[in-house]
Formats: sequence, C-alpha cells, structure tokens
Amino acid sequence: MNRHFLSGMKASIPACLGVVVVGISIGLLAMQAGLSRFETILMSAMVMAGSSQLMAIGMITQGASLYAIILGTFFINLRHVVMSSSVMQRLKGTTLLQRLVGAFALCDESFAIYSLSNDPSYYFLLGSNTALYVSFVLSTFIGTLMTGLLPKIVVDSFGIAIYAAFLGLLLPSVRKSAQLVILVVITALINWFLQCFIPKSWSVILAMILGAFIGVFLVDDETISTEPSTDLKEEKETESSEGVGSI
Amino acid sequence: MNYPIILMILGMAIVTYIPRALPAAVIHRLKFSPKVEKFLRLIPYTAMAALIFPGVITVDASRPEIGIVGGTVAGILAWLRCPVIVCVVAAIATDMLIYAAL
Repeated sequence: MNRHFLSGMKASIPACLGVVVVGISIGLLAMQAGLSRFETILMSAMVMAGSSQLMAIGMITQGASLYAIILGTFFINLRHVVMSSSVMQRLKGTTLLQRLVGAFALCDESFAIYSLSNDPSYYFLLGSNTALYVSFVLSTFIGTLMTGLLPKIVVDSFGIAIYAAFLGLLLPSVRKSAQLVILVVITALINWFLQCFIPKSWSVILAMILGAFIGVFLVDDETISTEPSTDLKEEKETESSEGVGSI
Repeated sequence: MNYPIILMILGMAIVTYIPRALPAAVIHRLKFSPKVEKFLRLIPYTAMAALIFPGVITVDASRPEIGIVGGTVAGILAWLRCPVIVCVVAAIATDMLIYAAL
C-alpha cells in the first residue's frame, strides 16, 4: 500500500508545480476581493477546483448573486463527472467509502496521471490526489500571506489582476487550435450581447453554456479529447501543467 | 456581498463534489455520449471567455484604457505561455504605470 501511495505522489510532482502557481494566485486574489484568510483557505480545501474558484472570485468583484456563483461553479466543474467515471471503472474491488474518498480531490491532473500510470492501485490515486491537494491548499495559504506585503499603490491597480489570471489560464490552452480561439471570441461576443438585456452574472452563465454548445459542432473532437495521453505529452514538452483544462 | 461567504463556499463545495462522487456511487452505470463529454470539457474555456469580456473593460469604469492596456499586456504574455502569476504581476505593473503617469 505505502509503495503505491508514494509512487502516486512521485508521479504528481511535475503537475504540483502548475497547481502551486494557481493556488498562489487564488490566495492573493481572494483576499483582494474581500474574503478573509480563513475563508480563502477553506474554499481551496473544500472545493479544490481552481478555475471555478477564480470564477467565483471574479463574479464576487462583478457583484454576482450567491445563486449565480453556485450555478456557475456547478457548470464549470460538471466535466469531472466524465473523469470520475473513467477513474472509477478502474477501481475494481474498492469499497464505496474508499471510492468516495478518492473522488473528493479528483481533478484534471490526478485523472490524467492515474489514467496513464500502469499502476491501477487505489493507493496510487490517493497518493496523487494527496500530493496535488496539499500543494494546492498550502500554496493558497502562501498567496494569502503575500497580500499583506503589498503597498497601497499596488492594491489600487489590483482590479486588472483577476482578468490577467483568467487570460493566463485561458490563452495558453487555446492557442493550439484556431477553432478554440474562434469559439472563445464568439462566447465573449455572446456575453457582450446578452449583457444588454440581463444582469451580468447570469449572462456569463448563459454565454458559457451557449458557447460550449456551439463548440460541440465547431471544434474538432481531437482538439478536446477525453484521452489524457495527448494532454500530458504536451505538458512534458512545454514543462507546464497550467491552463483551464487543468485543475 | 450581501450574503455570507461561508454559505457560498459550502454551496460551491457541494455542487463540485456531486459530479465527482456520483460515478463512485453508481459505478458501471454512467455512460456519456462523445458530444456530451465534449460539451462538458468545453465549459471551462467558454466560462473564462465570458468572464473576461466585456468585464475587463470596466475594471475602472471611468477609464476603459486601464482594463484594455492591462488586459492586452496580460494577454500577450499568456499567449507566450508565461505562468499565470507573471501575467498578473505584469498587468498590475502596467496599470500602476498608467495611474502614475496620467
């Protein structure tokens, strides 16, 4: 058991570096948006899904309602159902409780790492999840400490930070495909159009659903493959595991 | 914010855990068509797109150039695969310069 757990942790080290960067950004931005240090760390510890947490922080600053934030989180994290069902098929001979624990910190990275490993052990998955989870929560904590160090002139210019974080997550993962770039532009325009008629936070949710629906027909299957192999190969080339596709 | 953040975090945690846990509970019984899978995997991309635009223009409602220039700097760096934190720091530095100069 220990051997599997450790090799799962070891296999996750490269991905942890990408997770740490996202965690630090979340810690920094959440504090700036008005969350307390406790709330910021609690969010990372309980949700463990970076892009949805950044989305929630962005929606708070845009004045969204509680319901809009939770609904948006639901949609952006719904993809985990696909990854989880693929992982669970491999976890033969585990108890329900074990699977429920394994599902808790399951993310894009641990899905890819576990699917590619030739060790189907439950403890390999748990080791991978644990390494990623601890890096994420710890780096969020480090991010919250950094806000206290910022002078006022920096804080005054902080409005752009959340958008820079969105761009930093989105653009590296769409540049490989012109179709994805077009889809992103179309979605932004849909949102712009909808905002003339409905409140901002709801137009974001509607635009992301409409955009993804259009994308089903616009984007090639290979571009958004469920096979983790291509993603990880590319990660190895670029030495980076950040992006909307991750965490 | 006119709601407790704890409530938001709890709600987010629940709606995030359900899709992760569902296949653990009903193992063998979940099958998705390729189109549904693709739809779900595209949502993070379209969500980021909708969050960025047009919100970025209204970073400083009275001065759209703050969002446009800062966003462009972050966008170029992101396109060149710079880490998220580099994009964030560069965008803040750019806006600091604009505020200081004008």
